[in-house]
Amino acid sequence: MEADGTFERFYEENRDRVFRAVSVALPGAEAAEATSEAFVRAFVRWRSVRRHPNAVGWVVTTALNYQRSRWRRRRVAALAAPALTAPPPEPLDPTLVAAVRALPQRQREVVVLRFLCDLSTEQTASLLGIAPGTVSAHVHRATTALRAAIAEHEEELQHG
Amino acid sequence: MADDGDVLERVRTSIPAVSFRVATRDLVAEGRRRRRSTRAITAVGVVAVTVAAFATPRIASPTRVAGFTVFEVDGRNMIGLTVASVDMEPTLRPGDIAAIDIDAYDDGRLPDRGDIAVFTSPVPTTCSHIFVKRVVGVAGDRVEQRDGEIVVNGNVIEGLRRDHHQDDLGPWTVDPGHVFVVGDNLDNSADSRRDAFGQVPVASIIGRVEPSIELDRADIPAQPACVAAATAASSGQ
Repeated sequence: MEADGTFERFYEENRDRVFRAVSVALPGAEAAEATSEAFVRAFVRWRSVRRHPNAVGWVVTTALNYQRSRWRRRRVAALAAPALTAPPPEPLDPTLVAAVRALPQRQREVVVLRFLCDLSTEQTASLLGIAPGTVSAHVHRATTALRAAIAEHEEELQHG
Repeated sequence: MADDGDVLERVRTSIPAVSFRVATRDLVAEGRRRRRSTRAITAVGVVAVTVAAFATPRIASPTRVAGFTVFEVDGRNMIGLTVASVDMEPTLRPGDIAAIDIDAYDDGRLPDRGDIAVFTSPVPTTCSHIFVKRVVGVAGDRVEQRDGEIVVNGNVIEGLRRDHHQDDLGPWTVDPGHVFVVGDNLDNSADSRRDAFGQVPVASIIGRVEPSIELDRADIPAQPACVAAATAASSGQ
């Protein structure tokens, strides 16, 4: 398929960005597998994904929906291994990362797409197949939960 | 009180500056391999797919679903099913072609929680509709709906889509020889939560969706959308 050349450019331009966003939401090895799996799927369906209004968002959403226990294949784990040759860096903000990972699936997706991928409410809604109002509601719940987690952590620090 | 902007800025600055080191070449090779394997179609021919008659005295006769072309993927017998409804979104969307492993429950193998099962209508009809739903409870499990979540043996089932508040339902205990199914799109699914639908007899399950196999329309022979089920009881009614 002659269009595959455009996939290679798409992958090289966006691999880091996708991996970084996914790394906030998913822990270490899972983020690497999820990112690999999502890009492989994008390649398999490249004919349609390349025409998607938000192909990068599509890949990130696919990665966030990667369910390791159900869909994990040895091949994907092997494929993703080079992404883990360097030890995963200490999260810059462990409290916040833990709080993001503790969010319900849908809120986590919305936080990543809206604020790590800088997608609009409409783009996020379209990718997730939900209404824009629902996206806003999830954002609100998520920020409330994150703020609470941050505050609780700070209180623990103060009071030992 | 800090506004949302504070929290969101903090989220943004939490992004690690990592590189993704999977080589383009390796990723493309895996993609090509997948495309090839779904196209290695060996049409076994149009067959009557016989639902395995499990060795329980209660099952009188197997249900045959005719008209599907069986093809082979990675050595497994599959049929393709075009998804026409939204009840399994976002996992399966209208237009997706699901690959069904029709050998999954042979030899007495029972569905596991989390399997996406494909089964014929629990209610006899002239045109047997094929249902695709997620198995959340197996024989002996206690299933209920609380705060819009499905809870099985006290554990909340993650990953199902819920957008609106729903009534609490249940609890149910799953009968032997049956499974409790729901659509991933909980708000838009008629499933075991409804009395008229009920628990699904294992004997009516044709196979299991293999979610890691993606099919394009061009890859498989056209499958009928709705097939006539030949059972011992029905004949044109």
